[in-house]
Amino acid sequence: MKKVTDNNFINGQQPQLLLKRPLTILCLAIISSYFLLAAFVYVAELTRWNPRFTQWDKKVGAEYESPNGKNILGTDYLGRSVLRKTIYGAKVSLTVALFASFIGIIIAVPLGALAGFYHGIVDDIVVWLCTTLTSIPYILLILAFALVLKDKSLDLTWLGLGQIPLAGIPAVCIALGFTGWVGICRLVRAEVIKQKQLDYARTARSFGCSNFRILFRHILPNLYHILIVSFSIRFVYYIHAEVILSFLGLGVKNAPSWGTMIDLARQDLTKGCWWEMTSATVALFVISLAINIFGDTLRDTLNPKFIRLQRIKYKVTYER
Amino acid sequence: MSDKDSILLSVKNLSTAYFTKQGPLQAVRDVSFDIREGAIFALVGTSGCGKTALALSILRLIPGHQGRITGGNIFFNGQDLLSIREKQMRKVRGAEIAFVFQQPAAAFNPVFTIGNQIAETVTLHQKKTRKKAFSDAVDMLRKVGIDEPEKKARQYPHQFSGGMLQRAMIAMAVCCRPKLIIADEPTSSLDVTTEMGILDLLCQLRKEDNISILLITHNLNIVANRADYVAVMQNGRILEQGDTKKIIQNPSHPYTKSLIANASKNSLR
Repeated sequence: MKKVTDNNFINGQQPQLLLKRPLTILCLAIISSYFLLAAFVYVAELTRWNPRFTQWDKKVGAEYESPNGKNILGTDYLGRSVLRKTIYGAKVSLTVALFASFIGIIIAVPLGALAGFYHGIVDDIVVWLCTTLTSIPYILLILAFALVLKDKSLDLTWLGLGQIPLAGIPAVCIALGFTGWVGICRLVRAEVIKQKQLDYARTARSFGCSNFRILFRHILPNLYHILIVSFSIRFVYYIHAEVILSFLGLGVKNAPSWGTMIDLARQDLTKGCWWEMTSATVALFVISLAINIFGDTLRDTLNPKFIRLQRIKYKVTYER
Repeated sequence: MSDKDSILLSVKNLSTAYFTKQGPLQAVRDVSFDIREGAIFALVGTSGCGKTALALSILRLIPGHQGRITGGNIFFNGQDLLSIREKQMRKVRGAEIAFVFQQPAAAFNPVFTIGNQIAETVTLHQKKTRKKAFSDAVDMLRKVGIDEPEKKARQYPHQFSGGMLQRAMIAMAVCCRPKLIIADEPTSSLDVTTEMGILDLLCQLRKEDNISILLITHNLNIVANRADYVAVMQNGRILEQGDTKKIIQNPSHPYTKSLIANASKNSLR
């Protein structure tokens, strides 16, 4: 029963392994502090509480002030605080990344699962959709989305939220979500094809489960680790995509985001004014790195094969 | 087969083919047999002779893209299982005919607890609340001889040993009180002591609940002691079938003779 004891090791150790590494805890702390900042900005906006550091458009000093005691990260060409803009940018980036990832997963998982489970026409349609979407440059698609959604608004008065304009942040979320689901869809499809041939799926069928039940109740829970890891990877990708889009002038307008900050600071660099570019880039770099390392650890803890490999590696070095 | 009323499952001229690149492969050819209520019917044969294909055919579990039942009838309680719709077939699976698979470690879903999986089978076929179904699952685990069933029901498959998993599998099979259990080599991945325990359990269930058992195996020693009827299979055909004692003592087919000779050689060792 060697196999069983191996599994015991893997599953028994999961939560501990995640919290044993100081680096992982650090990454988790960084990620949560970013999220807290973003949540803070949201709360401040919704309650019209307006603390000082969410007032990014207020003039706080002279133009192009280098970092000093009063303005820690300096000021931009209008004398606005770079620190406040960076914090506001975190809100934009995280919102876009979060919603785009959710939209992507909501589209990708059912489509991929159905395509993998059913042969024939369903599979053909989904695969065709994936290949077609990947063959269109996503910036073109996003342009199209931004154009279409410019004057549209989502009527949520029945929820008490009023009319939500779809231009700006929602347009970027929708555009990224609708163009970026292909990778996850392929991953889910391949994994479902693998899982449905395993014995437990056959057992479920032999005890009277319907196809639908086997797929969504038995197979999908076996894919959670893949979804979590790909979510963390997509998340970083969407943060970058938002920055690139804003840099190109296709993204968020009338609000600072890291992309627009980098775009504006590009012209100021020649004047020796490096702080705006640096703060946006460092903010982006730190969250990307933290999520990447955290995603790696998640993969290590959730993928049984990987743990076993690691263990063998350790064993070998030990014996030497 | 004098008393026709007591026949539970009747397979008539069943043929099953798997699709291969070289064309259809006849895994089961023109097989007929009857299983009586409360009897243990053993199906013996070497690996790849079509035993599992036959068992899967009875429950229509062969995936459509892999193979197809090409002919014959399967009557269960007078109902032709090959002519009913998939939805009705789902009500037969688990509730009337249950399946015990060869590899218990792979047959359970690794992400759910044992108790949950047994409870799910109960809720699929009986109108019971989740809580009631779970307590049924615990009762079943107790019945198949698992210690501390309340605790074990909350454990995951990887925390069980092979023998315990097979017991849990049997608990899952009997939880809806089926009339027939198809046990596809239930003990081939277990050691000899555990094997005896599992077979004793099956025999005990047969006695208590009058469940018929289709026991698929390649081990003639098991068959000789426990089965009422035996059928010997080779290349998808049943060579001979009948009362176990008669076949073992007086085999008519040369293949059966060689099987018995090999089995007795093993048991002498």
